[in-house]
Amino acid sequence: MVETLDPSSLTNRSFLYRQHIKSGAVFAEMGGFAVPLNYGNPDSETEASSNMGLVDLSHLPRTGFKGWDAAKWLVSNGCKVGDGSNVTTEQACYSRAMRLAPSEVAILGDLNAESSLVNDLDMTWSSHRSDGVFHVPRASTNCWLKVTGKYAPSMFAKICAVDLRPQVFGIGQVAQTNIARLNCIVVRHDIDAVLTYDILTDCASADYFWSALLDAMEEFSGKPIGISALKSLSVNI
Amino acid sequence: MKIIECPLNGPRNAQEFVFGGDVINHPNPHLISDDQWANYVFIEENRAGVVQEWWCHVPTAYWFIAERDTVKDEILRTFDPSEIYKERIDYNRPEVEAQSQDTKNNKVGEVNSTNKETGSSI
Repeated sequence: MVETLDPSSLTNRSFLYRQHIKSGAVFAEMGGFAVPLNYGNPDSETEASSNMGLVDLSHLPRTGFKGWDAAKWLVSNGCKVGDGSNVTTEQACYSRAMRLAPSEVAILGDLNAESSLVNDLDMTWSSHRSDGVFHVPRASTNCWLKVTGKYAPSMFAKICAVDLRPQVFGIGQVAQTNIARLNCIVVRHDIDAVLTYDILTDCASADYFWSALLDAMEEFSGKPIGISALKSLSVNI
Repeated sequence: MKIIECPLNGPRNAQEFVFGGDVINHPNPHLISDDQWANYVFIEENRAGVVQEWWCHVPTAYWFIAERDTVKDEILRTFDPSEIYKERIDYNRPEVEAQSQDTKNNKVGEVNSTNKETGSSI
């Protein structure tokens, strides 16, 4: 029996921690959260990560701002924001700013939670509120999942009407659409040569969404993978 | 599958949208009778032909305007509301607006006798 951290011993838990316990996750503490390192079979998860895997990244920082002055306010606070809608702009610290509309931006932290950009922006907003900028607390309202592997576009074709194949849906491109009948933000974020997609969706439906994705992934031998298997995809994370 | 072209997100499944009613000029509720207001709120013209309608792309909560032929049920064009609505519209009560205008005039020490507008409508 592998020794594992009990998620209920920490105050910060993923929306999906009960699902992870059921799947036999081995937890470790990261940034105050209990994060699944693996689900008991690290080797098969490493293999699944480049074919068809699902990772819960809800422990990572994320935030959002909307309003007619949001983009200007973000730029003045050191966050690069693209001009067009539904595009991602990489930050120096591996964080990403997704411009969802002319008046809305969502920011995703880096996969190691080392960047302070998200926290800095949240702190700046709470101490220096500005007209025309409104906070969207995505860390407490959205769960963050990542689908990895070459079969991801085929899997999405079953549950999403938008064409997410790599030849059509470029790196950093954002689609705001329905996946498995839930409103989602999906962004392509390749890790080295492996195709991966980040998904933000309503945290209250996290349990349903996790199960729906695993069900759709079954025919591709997809499975939940821990953070260790995700990190095996690149030496940079 | 029926497709609607969202001005923000591109072509999307029609299931992702909700209908928001006809695009009609908003009357100033402080300047019209209750009957006229009820007419504005509840009565649809239900015209056969090309109409402008509000639609919302639900995943992004983005409202836009579609020109739709109600006879053929065909969407001819979709566009951002900023093409029509260029400025924010406020409907202050006439007395509130007159009062705020007086305060403003007192501050600058002069009376603008030409400003008799008591409300706005498109």
